[in-house]
Amino acid sequence: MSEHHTSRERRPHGRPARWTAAAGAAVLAAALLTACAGTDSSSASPATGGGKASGGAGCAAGATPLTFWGWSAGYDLAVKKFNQTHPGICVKIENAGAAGDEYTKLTDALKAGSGTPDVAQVEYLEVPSFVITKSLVDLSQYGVSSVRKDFAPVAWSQVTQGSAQYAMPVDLGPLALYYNSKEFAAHSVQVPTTWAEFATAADKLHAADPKAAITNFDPVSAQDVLALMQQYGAFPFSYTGGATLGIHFTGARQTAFANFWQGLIDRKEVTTTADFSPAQWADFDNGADASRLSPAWGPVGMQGSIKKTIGDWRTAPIPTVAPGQQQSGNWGGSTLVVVKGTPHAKEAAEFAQWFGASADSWKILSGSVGGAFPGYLPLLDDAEFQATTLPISGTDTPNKVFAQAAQHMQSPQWPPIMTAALTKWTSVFAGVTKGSETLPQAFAAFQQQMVAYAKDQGFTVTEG
Amino acid sequence: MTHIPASRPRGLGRRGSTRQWPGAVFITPHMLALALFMLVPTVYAVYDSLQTTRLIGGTHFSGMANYRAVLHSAEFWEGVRRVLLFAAVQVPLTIGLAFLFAAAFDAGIVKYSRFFRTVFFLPFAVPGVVAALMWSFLLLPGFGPYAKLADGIGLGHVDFFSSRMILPTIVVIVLWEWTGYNVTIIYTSLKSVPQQITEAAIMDGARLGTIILRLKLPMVWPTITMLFFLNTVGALQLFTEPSILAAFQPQSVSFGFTPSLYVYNTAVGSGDYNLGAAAAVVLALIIGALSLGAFALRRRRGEFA
Amino acid sequence: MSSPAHTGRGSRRARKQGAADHVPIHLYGLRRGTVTVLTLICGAFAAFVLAPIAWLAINATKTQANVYGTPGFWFARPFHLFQNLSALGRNISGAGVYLQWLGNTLLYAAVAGLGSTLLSALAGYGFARFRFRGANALFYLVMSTLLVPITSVALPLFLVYARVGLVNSVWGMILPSMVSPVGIYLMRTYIDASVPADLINAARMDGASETRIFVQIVLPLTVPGLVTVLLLTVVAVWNNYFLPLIIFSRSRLYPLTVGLSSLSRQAETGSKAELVPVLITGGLVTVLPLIVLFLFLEKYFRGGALQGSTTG
Repeated sequence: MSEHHTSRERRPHGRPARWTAAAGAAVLAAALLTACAGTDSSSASPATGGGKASGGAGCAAGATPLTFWGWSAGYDLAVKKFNQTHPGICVKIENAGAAGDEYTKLTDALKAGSGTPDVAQVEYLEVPSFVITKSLVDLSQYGVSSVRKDFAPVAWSQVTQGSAQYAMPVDLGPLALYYNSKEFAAHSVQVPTTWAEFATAADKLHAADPKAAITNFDPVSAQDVLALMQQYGAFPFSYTGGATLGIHFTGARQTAFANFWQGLIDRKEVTTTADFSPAQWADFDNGADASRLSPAWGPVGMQGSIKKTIGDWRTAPIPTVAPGQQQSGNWGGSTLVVVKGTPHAKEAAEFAQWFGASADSWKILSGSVGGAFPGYLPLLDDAEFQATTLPISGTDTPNKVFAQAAQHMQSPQWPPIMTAALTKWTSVFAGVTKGSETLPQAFAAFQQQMVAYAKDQGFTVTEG
Repeated sequence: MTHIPASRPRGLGRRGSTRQWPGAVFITPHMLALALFMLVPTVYAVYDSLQTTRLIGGTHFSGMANYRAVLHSAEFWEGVRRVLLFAAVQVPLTIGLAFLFAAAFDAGIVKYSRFFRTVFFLPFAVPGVVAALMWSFLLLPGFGPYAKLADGIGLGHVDFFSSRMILPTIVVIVLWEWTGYNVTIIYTSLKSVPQQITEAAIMDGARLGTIILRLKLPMVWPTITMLFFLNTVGALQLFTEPSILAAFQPQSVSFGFTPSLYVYNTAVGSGDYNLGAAAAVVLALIIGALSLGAFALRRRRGEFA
Repeated sequence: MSSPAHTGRGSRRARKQGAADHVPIHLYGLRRGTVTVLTLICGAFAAFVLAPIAWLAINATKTQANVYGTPGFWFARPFHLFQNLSALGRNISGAGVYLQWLGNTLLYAAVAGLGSTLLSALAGYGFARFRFRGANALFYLVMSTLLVPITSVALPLFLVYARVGLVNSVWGMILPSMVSPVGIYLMRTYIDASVPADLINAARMDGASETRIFVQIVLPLTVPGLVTVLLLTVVAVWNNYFLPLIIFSRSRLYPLTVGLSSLSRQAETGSKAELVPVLITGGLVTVLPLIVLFLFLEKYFRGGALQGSTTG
C-alpha cells in the first residue's frame, strides 16, 4: 500500500480540514478569477486595436496603423508626439525586449513569417545581419536620404550599402575619457592624450595606490571592446555587402591592441569587471577605477548608480594612438529599420525619418527621460546642448567633448553574422576575465571560430 | 511497504468491461492538448533538425549532418557532463538534507518544528528567475553582502562566479529553492508511518537513529525514489538559474554551460535553428535513456508502481 | 501494512489521547541537549532561507545608488519604498509596466491552473477506472513527456504558433500549460486510492450517467487531489520562464518572470533609468502573494494533499 490510502483517514481533523481546504481553494480561485477579469478587460483592448494603446493616444479614425518595436527610454514619448503631429499615421510602440532579446524575437518572427512589426529599433551593428536575410526595406526609394546632410558621417555610413539605405540612424555613442578628477589630482596624474601616456598614467596611479586601476576593461563586453578597437584603428571586420566577408582578429593592428590591453591587465592597472555590474559602479565610486572609457550616453546612467563621487567626474577626449590625432570610437546607438512585409512601407519610412531627423523628436529623445546622444547635427552642434551640465560632472560640460568625438570616427563595417558573433564572444573572452587566457589568445580563438562559422554559412572569408 | 497492487485496476476492468469506452472519452481532452502542444512541436523539431539553412545559399535537406555536428561538439558534451555532475551532487544533497529535516520534524525532536516547516517551504513560492536575481545580488564579487562576508571572516576574496565556484553556487541556489519542498513531501509521507511500529521498535530497544534509517527510510523509499526522478529530470534541464546569472556575470556562463543553454544559444542566440533542434532531440533522448534505465532498474527491484 | 484502516486507527487513537502527532520523545532516550542542537541547526537553515528574502525587503526601500553603495542587510536613507512601489505601476524606461505583468501572471496561472486541473481530473479518472485499448501505452506516452525539455519544445511550438496565429496570444501561453503529466499522475493515483470502484459500479447499477458519476461522485471525493493539482499548476505557470520568453514579443503580455528578467537585462545594459530598485521591489511583490497564499494553505499541504504526488 502507499501513503495516499491513508491520507483521508489519517488527517487529524478529517472533515473540517477538507472544508478549510475547499474553502481555501474557493478563495484562491475567486481571487484569481477576479484578478484575471480585471486584466482581461484591460489587456484585451490594445490587442484588438481599440481604446488607448500605448503611444497611440489621440489617433484619428482611419489613420494608417504602424507597429513599432523599440526599447529605449523616451521612445514612447516621441511616438506620442509623432501621433499628435501626424494625424494620418498611428504608431503603436511595443517593447519586445532590449537589444539582443529584440533581435531574437525579430529573427523568430521573420522565420515564422508572422508577427513582425512595421518598424523596429536595431543597433547599427545588427543592421547588416538583417540586410543579408533580406528582411529590411530599402529606404532610399522613399526620399529619406534628403536628411543625410543632417547626420554625422559615421552614423550614415553604417546604414548604407552601395546606393541602398537600410535604416534611419538615430543616436550615437562616441567614446571619451571620463575621469575622476579628484583621484587623478590626488596622485598627480595628468590627463593622458595618447595611449602611451595612458599606460604611463596607469603605471603611476597603480604605483601610488596598489588598489587603484586607471580604468575598467571588460573583455566579455563585445560592443565595448569593438568600439575601442575601432578607435584604435583595429576594427576586426570588413564587409560591404554580398557573400565576401573579412575577419581580422589576428592582424598587426589587432594584435597591437590586444597586447596593449593585456599588458595593462597583467600589471593589474586595469580591472576586468563586468560592465554595468554593481561591482563596477562600486569601483568607480571608491577610487578603484579612476576613469571610464565612456560612451556619450554613459554619464547619465552612471549618475544614478554612484554616490560619493558625484561632482568629481570630468570629460576629456579619448587617448589616441598618435599624438595630435582626433579619433574616437562608437559604442551603441540605434537605428530604425522598416521591416519587409509591412503593407505601409511609405508611412513607416516617414515615421523613421521624423524619428531620427526632426527637432521635435530630438527634443524628447535627448531630454531628461531619454538621454539619447544625437547623431543629428542640428542638435549635436547646438550651443545650448553642448553647454548642458550634469550633477555628476559639476560645472563640466560633457556633451561638448562627446559632440567633438562624434565628428571624428571611422565608420565600422559590421559583419552580417553579428548575432552569432555576440553569442560566441562571451564564451571565448570569458577566460580573459578569469585570467586563464590572454587577450591575444582569445583573439586567435575567436578568429578561428568566426571564420569556421562564416564558411559554414556559405561566405567567402578573407583573413589577415 | 508495497506498491499499489497492479492487479486492481485490471480486476476492475474485467468487472466493468461493458463500460470501457467512456475511459477513452475522459482522456480525450488532455490527449488532444498533449498532441497539439507537445507532439506536434516535437515532430516539427525532428523535421527541422534534418535540414540545414545557410545565410548564403538557403535551406536544404541534410540528413544526419546536424546530429553529427552535435555528437562531435565538445561544448555540448561538456554541458552534458556538467549537468550530470550537477545532478549527482545536487539531487542527493537536497533529498538527503530534506529527509534528515523531515525525519527530525516527524520524530518531534526539534522545537518550533511547525515554524521551521513553513519557513523551509517558502522558497517554493519564489520563481526561479527571482531567486537567481536575488542570489546574484547577494553573491556578486565586490558588491554582494555574502561575498563581503566571505572576505570579512577571512576566507579571502571568494569569487562565487569564478569557473570553479559557479557550479557550487548554482547548487546552493537550487538547494535553497527546493529543499523545503522536498521536506514537505517526505514529512507528509513519514507521517503516514503508523506510530505503533515506532512504539514497537522502541520497546525492542531500537535507538532513534536506527528507527529513522532502518525503519522509516525504507517505508518512505517510494516517495524518495520519485523525488529522485523528478529532481534529476529538473537538474538535467537546468536553464533558468544559469541564464539569469549570465545576465550579471556573462563570463561565468559559457555558450554550452548546460545542454539547455546550448540549445537556446544555438537556435535563438546564433539563429541556427536546425542545429539547435538536433541538439534538443539529442538532449531529450539522453534524458529519456537515463530515465528508462532508472525505471528498468526499479522495476526489477519491484519498486515501480 | 496492508490495511489503510490500520494506520487510521493509530492516528485516531492518538487524537483521542490528545497527544502530539508523534511518539513522546522521552521514549527515545536522547542525550541531553540533542533537541537544542537540532533546533539550532534548523534555525541556521531557516536563516539561510530567509536571508535573501530579507535582503529583498530591505533593498526595496533604497535608491539605486544606495543599493550599490550601502550595506546590503541594513536600511539607508532616503526611505525610497513608496517611490519604488509607485514605479511598479509606471512604464519605466519603456520596459513595460510591472502591474500589468502581475495581472497577466494571475490570469495565466488561474486559467491554466483551472483548465489543467479539469483535464487532469478527467484523464486521471479515465486512466484509473477504465480499461480500454491502448490505455497503458497512452499513459506512458503522457508520462514520457516529462522527459522532453521545455527548451526543445518551445521553439518549434513558436513556429507552429506562427502558422495558426497564436503568437502573442494569451492562449498560446495558457493552452500548453494545461498539459500536466504530473497532474494526471496525481489524479490517477488519487482516484485509485480514494474513489472505490464499487461505489461507481453501484451508481451505474442505479442508472447514473457517466457524466453524472464523474461530477457528483468522483469530483467531490477527490477535492484534496484537485486542489493539489491546482496549486502545482498555478506555481508552475507562475514560475514559467522559458515558454513566455519565446512566444511573447509584446511586453504587455509578459508574465512576471519574463518582465523582471527583461528589466534586469535593461538594468545590466546601462539603462539611464534607475531600474535596479524597481527590479528588487518587483521581485518582492512577486514573491509576497505566493508566500501569503502558502501561509494560508500550509495546513493543507501538511494535510496530505501533496502526498499522492510522490507515492509510487
